[in-house]
Amino acid sequence: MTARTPATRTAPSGDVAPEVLAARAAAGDRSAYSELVRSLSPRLFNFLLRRVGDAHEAEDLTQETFVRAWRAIGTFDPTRKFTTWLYTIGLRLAVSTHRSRRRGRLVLTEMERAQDTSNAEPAERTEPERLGAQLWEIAGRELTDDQHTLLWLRYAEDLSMADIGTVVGKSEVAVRVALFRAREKLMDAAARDGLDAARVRAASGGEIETTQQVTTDRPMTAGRGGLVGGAS
Amino acid sequence: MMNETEILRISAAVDDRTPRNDGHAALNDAADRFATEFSRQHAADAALRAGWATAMAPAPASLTDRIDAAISAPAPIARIHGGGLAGWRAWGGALAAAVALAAGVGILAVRMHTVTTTESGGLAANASAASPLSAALVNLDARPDPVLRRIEDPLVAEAERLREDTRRAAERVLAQLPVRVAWR
Repeated sequence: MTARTPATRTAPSGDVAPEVLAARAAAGDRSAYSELVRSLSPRLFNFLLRRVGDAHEAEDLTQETFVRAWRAIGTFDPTRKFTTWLYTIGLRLAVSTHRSRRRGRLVLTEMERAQDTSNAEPAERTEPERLGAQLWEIAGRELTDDQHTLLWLRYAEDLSMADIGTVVGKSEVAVRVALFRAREKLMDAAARDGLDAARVRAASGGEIETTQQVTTDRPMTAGRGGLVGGAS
Repeated sequence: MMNETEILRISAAVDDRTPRNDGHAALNDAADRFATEFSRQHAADAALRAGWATAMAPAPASLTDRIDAAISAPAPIARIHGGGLAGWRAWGGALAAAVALAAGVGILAVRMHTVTTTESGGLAANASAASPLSAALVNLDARPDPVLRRIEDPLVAEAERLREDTRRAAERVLAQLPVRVAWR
């Protein structure tokens, strides 16, 4: 098996934002682009692996995405988020390939490999991590490609609703509704697997306040300018 | 089934981490009426956020080098049927080449026709009208301006040699034929 490096959600070294590196690359700095490749390729690979369900195809797509982005780097607007732009290219490439949709089974194989080679054994994981891993496994099995893509962009990539909308070509409202439906379907599937919401909530540290606490215990603070806007 | 407005209210609380004590009465109201769904969404959000790293597969170690090598390689030549601007440029180039070829063939055909039709009588006159060199090739005796002779003499000498070589080669080939053919 090919040697693999663990994938993490890290910024490029030196705390240089991807947008700054992209601007340098657009000015002809090849090493800046190499830095972007080094820091973002593991994440893009994972995103595409989840989408197409085949490691070799995900590698090819990752390479092609970076090549296309490099050729078009002059058109990148540095005021926008580079990862959003990159993932938009990658997703369009993945969709246009029309290939394997057996994501769940194949990705689980990749996850098993990851567990075999990572430093942290499953047994050493915290309870929230174990539960999260279970939920991701169920997501890989039960959700549609589009639903899974939304969850991945939201939680693994930490993209805002607006940025997710840009990547998948939908409005922010549509993304919010689709994300809600995806989590709803996921929790239904989890319940069938014996994971009820109470256990998930307790294990993930997601104990929530009751509405009585909400209205009385804390001082009022300024609003965020609307219920739908102000994506994180 | 919840409607879109209700979903968006829960989404604002879950996805934007909007504090539930921030004064949005409508948000709290939605949470009250859909406490169960809000709880499920919140639980899923927390668990997915906690577990994303465990779902990450390690990328191949060679991936970065492979991408760097691909970027360093020259871009492939655009295919004619590849669409887009490159495709139109390719088709335009092909059309221009076809027009140029057709024009060249046309001019050549006209010239050959002129030489052929005047072969018996006005061969020399027509050839000299075309150019001094072609006149020399067709009729070596028909020299134009004496002033140009010094320039043309080496070319004419070469043309004579070419013509003689061609004549000898043609005679050798024709000698192998079972019929008698005279070389003029």
